[in-house]
Amino acid sequence: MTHALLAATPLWMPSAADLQRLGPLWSLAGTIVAVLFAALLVGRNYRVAGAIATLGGVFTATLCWRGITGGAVPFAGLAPEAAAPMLVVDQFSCFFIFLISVFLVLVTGMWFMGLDAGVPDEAARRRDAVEFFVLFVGSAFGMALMVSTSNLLMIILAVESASLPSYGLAGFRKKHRPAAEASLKYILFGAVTSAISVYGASLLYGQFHTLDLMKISTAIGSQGISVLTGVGLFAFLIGVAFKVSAVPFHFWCPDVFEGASIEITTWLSVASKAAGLGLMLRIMWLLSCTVQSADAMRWVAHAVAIMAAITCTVGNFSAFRQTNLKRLLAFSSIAHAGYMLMAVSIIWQPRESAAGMPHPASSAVIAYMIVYLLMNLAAFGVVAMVYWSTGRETMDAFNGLGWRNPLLGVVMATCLFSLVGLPPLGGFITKYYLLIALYDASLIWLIFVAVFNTLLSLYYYARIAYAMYFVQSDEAPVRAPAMGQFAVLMCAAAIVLSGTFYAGKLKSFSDQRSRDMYGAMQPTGLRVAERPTADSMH
Amino acid sequence: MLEALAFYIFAAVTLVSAIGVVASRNIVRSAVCLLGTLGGVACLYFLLNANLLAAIQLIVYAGGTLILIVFGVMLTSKSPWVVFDPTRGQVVGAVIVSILLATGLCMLLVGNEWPAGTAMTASPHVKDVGTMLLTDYLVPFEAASVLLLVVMIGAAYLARPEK
Amino acid sequence: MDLNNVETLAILIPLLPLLGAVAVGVIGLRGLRSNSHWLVLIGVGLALACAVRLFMNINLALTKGGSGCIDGLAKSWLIYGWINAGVTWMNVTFRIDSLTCVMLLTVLSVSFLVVAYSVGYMRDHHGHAERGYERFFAFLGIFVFSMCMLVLAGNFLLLYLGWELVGLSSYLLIGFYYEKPSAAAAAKKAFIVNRIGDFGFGLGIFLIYYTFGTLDYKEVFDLVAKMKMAGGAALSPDRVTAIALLLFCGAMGKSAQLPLHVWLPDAMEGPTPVSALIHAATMVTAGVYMVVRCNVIFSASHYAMWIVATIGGITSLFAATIALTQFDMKRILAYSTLSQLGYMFLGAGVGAFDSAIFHLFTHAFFKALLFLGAGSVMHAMAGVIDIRHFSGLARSMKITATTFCIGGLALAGFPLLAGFWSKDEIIHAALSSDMPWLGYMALITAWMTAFYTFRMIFMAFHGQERLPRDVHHAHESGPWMTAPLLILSVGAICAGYVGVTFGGHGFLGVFEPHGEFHHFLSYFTSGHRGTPKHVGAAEAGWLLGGHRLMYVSAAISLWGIGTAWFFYRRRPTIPLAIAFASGGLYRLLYNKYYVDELYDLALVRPLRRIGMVCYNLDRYFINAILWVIAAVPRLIGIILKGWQTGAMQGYALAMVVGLLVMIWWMLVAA
Repeated sequence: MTHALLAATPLWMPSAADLQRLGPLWSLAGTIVAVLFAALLVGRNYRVAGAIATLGGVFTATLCWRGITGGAVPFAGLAPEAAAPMLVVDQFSCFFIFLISVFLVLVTGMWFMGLDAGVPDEAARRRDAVEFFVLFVGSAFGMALMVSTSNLLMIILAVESASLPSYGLAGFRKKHRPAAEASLKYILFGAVTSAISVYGASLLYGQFHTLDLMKISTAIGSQGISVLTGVGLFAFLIGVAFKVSAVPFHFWCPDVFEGASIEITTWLSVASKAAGLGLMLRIMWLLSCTVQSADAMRWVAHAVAIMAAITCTVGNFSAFRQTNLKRLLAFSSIAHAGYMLMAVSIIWQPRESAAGMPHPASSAVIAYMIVYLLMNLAAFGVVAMVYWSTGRETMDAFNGLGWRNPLLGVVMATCLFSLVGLPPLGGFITKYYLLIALYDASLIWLIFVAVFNTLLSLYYYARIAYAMYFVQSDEAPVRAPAMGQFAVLMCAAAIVLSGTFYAGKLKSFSDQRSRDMYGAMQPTGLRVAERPTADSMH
Repeated sequence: MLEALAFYIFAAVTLVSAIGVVASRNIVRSAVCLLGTLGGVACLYFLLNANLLAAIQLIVYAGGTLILIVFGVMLTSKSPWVVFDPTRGQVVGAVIVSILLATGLCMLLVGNEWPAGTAMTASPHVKDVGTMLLTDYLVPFEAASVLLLVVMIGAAYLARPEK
Repeated sequence: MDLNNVETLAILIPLLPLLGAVAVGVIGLRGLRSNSHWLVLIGVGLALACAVRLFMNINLALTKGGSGCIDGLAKSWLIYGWINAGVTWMNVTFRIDSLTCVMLLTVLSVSFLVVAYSVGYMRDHHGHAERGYERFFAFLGIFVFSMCMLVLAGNFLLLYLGWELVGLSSYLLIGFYYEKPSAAAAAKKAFIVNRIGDFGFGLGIFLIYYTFGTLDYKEVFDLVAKMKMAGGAALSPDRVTAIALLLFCGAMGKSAQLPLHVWLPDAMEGPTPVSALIHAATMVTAGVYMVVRCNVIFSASHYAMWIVATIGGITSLFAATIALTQFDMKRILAYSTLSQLGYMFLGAGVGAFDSAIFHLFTHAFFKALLFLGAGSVMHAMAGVIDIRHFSGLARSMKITATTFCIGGLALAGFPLLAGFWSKDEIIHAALSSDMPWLGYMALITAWMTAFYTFRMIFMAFHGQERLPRDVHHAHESGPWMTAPLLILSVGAICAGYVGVTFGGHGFLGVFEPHGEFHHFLSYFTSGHRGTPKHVGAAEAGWLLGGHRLMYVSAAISLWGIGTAWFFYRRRPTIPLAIAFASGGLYRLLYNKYYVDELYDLALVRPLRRIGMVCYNLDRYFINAILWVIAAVPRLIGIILKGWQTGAMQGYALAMVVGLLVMIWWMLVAA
């Protein structure tokens, strides 16, 4: 019976080389399993769990770095139809997985530092470390999937894989009421948006009979975009918009950021956004990769631009009155997602210049992302250290920080001014690239919105700087772990360097990354995994 | 003809009980109405010859999820007697928005030309679905299994009583 | 890292002091405390070593190539372009040529000695570090960094940056004892007066960009030279004059020339090492450096040259007259600095750019020496610096007295010491120019210089030992302070010989002016100077021939010293009698010509009144507008915060509305 079944089925096994190219994904999935098995073997040991997660992260990052720099042949395959790959692991996705796994390692370090600094629920944290790391690496795996696929079904699965563990992480402090509330809200929003997203996907499938974005794009190119296609795309994109917290799908963000513990907030503010934007970039680029489809995408892109403008503005305005630093940074992260979406919204524009030249917008997003990662890591790191020392995350805990711990003060001030986008910091340079890209795309109104928002944001960022340096406080000096101080100092140094000496390098690096994206996703550039047919088996 | 009649009946059941879910003020009644919706959808699947899908819909949603909801309602004290009491403003807002949304979607769905699909004459064999899952759709299948593993751990953690 | 590479060296030179300063700033307060000086000392020392190495490389190139053309020896290159989007004038470029080398050597060697000196000075008698010890060294490091950037700059923008940075470090260091109101006021005054000059300087740079479309030194200078060759129509003389005068405005502020000199005497409120380093040897000479650096522009405008020379000459005399009557040692030295800077501008103004730099070079050594000596006295006298309150210190403070005397001799232009050679060159150049009256004025100034210097020396170090009330016995300072004094006094004696050739039928039959130093600088200046007017200009007459001027100025110097000796050692009643007899004139000099009071009356008070009006306008009118403007976002913020209530229904509604808008958008768009 079994034999007969096997004989009747075209058995398909990916080659060893293909499996190797999928290394980053294997590595993350394997880390999850390793954490669980280690718990079986050595019991609930938080050190072991953390060490495995760190090792897994480092290993994945190494694999990805090799993938980025080694010029690995992009992998696209494991698919029902030869030209419609389920997974696309190319240099572009390697780059994003690299960011995610580096961040995984850093946040794990932060988690350990929190233990040493004596967070209130320390014992519970130690005990539940295994579950924590399973969820944590699990969400990283989901994010990695998000950036390495161009199939609607896989995208939905990936977004779910990234979201579901995040819900658990947000509510991980069970005894903490706001955490439970945040988690619940997160779940509800996630459920609604993914329902809308699946609905959109079904509309698209119904129209094109395919789940592959490239094919959908070709079809849009040949028959134009119908209203239904547009709505389907919108509805589908809402799932992604939820991940990058674009208005009006951002409501979960402040509550979750405030309720979750600070490592998780850091994680969600950066990794989730990076994965979401990577996916968004890929979708927008794929949908407009032919001249006709690009033209058809005009209206969709325009709507994305409007959404970006609203996101930015609402994020900045809402941050005005916040006194909780985590909440404030949540709104700031919404605003920054808005800036990045602005660039995403002009990817569709056809370019006259030679093929293979990256669109300035995509490299602007990537550069922005890199600097944004550094800024947020350092800013949240400082907030975390202040929290560990004072037990508060509100603005008044920052009063006189510049004198209570000069190093943290300087780092925070650097981050804040970079978040505003003042020269000569990285935040300025990347914003400058972004505005240049918008200018090239002649979206002048969007430039005005961006500049106006920058001015707005100055107000609330400067408020923190003001509290740190000009408000007297006779509180005790802030004691912070040396490693943590070193880490945030490095981030601040990187922010300064990326705005000065390495501004050119940052640009060329992100140009290269977006060239990867373009090179890999050309319809002809795909390397499709070979799939033996039933005939060749015999 | 008979098929069309069946479709309209099941669709109506689905729709009416969906409205019931939303409109009912008592949570237990909502849950019961949900049964109608889920069952109606399952029947629609049957009509489409998607027998396996219909069975899964019945087993997972009607059999699993719904029971879970009812248990949840029962186990949390007071819940069965909780009465939703939306304000007038909320009701009006919700109705307006829903009507607009429904109109928009209907306009879209009706006004669009759908490409002709290949109608399934006979229900596909379960074996075929299984084969598909382990060949063409291996990647989503594996991804889903990783997801389920992680989610299971998370759910167990959240459900575990604190010592 | 190739240490033979000029480019590497040039980057290291500013970087090392900066690293030292940053390190002190970061860990000074906690880890190092009273050992903070090491980092800066090492940083500056290594930078000095790099500068020496750089000088050797350039000198080698000079002797090898020897052609003296600009491009062969000036090295100008891009350190890094900030934004690679076609904004070339924002690039950081360095330029190395012989002028840069001389400046770097001067700045770094004096800085190194002053930093070492400060280790002793910034402590009390028990060897405990003063409060803010680490801050002091961090600031010193930042100053050295800024000064190096100023000197190394390869374009006007970077020059301006360095210019402002040294201004900032000067401000920080003058106000080092910020709890003292007078120090804080002096710091503010220095900053504000410098702003006035810098305003002009900034305008000058704008005008350069407007005229030439570039800010790069080489490009600008080449363009000026080319246009000058092409003649009239290519470049209007008015434009060049305007540029030169605006740039000179900046120099007047930074180098404290009349009428922007008022800040420098007050700047003596800062710690004495700062006065020695910043307000005597290095920063204040930045103006001279800039004028020489831009000699192409200046010499293209006869009128600008005339102004530079006149202002220099007048400041020189003016400051010397004030110095005659002062009693505060540091103030006397400050006025003498003004006077010497005046000499330098005089030299530059009559076209003797190399002589100006030569004087800058020698002056750095003996003036730093004098200031450090004054600091040593001040340290021993517990902060008293008024020469009426002590005398006869030579017995107990032998090293200080001897070295101070050497410095004084050099300043007074005593034959064969450093100051003699350089000052004589400038006077010679002035006399042989078309403004010989400036030369005669300079000779009078030379006499005064000798007089007031030795007036100070005789009053402080000679005669009966007398000490201020709180000091029980004077004692010599420690080795950290005396060692730099000794080294600098060697400099004060010998520094002049780099600019002298031996042999021939020169001064005393041995010394001929213009030595290696001028040769080294020659390519830089001779390329653009007209015919050198140094030798054999017939119209200036008798004085200029056959080294007669050297003998004359030696005699004048001796005469000044002798007069001081006679007045203050032999007949101490004479000065009093003269002061009494001259009455109003004496008071005028003693009160520094009432310039401060004049400024107060004519500028400060009216400005303050206008300021008051503006303040009220701002407070009651602008603020109200601003409040209204700021209220709008704040209001929106409140509304949005209200929106983010935490109630799920509202969120859900907003999301569905978002979806709705999208759907209808598509429906309408299609």
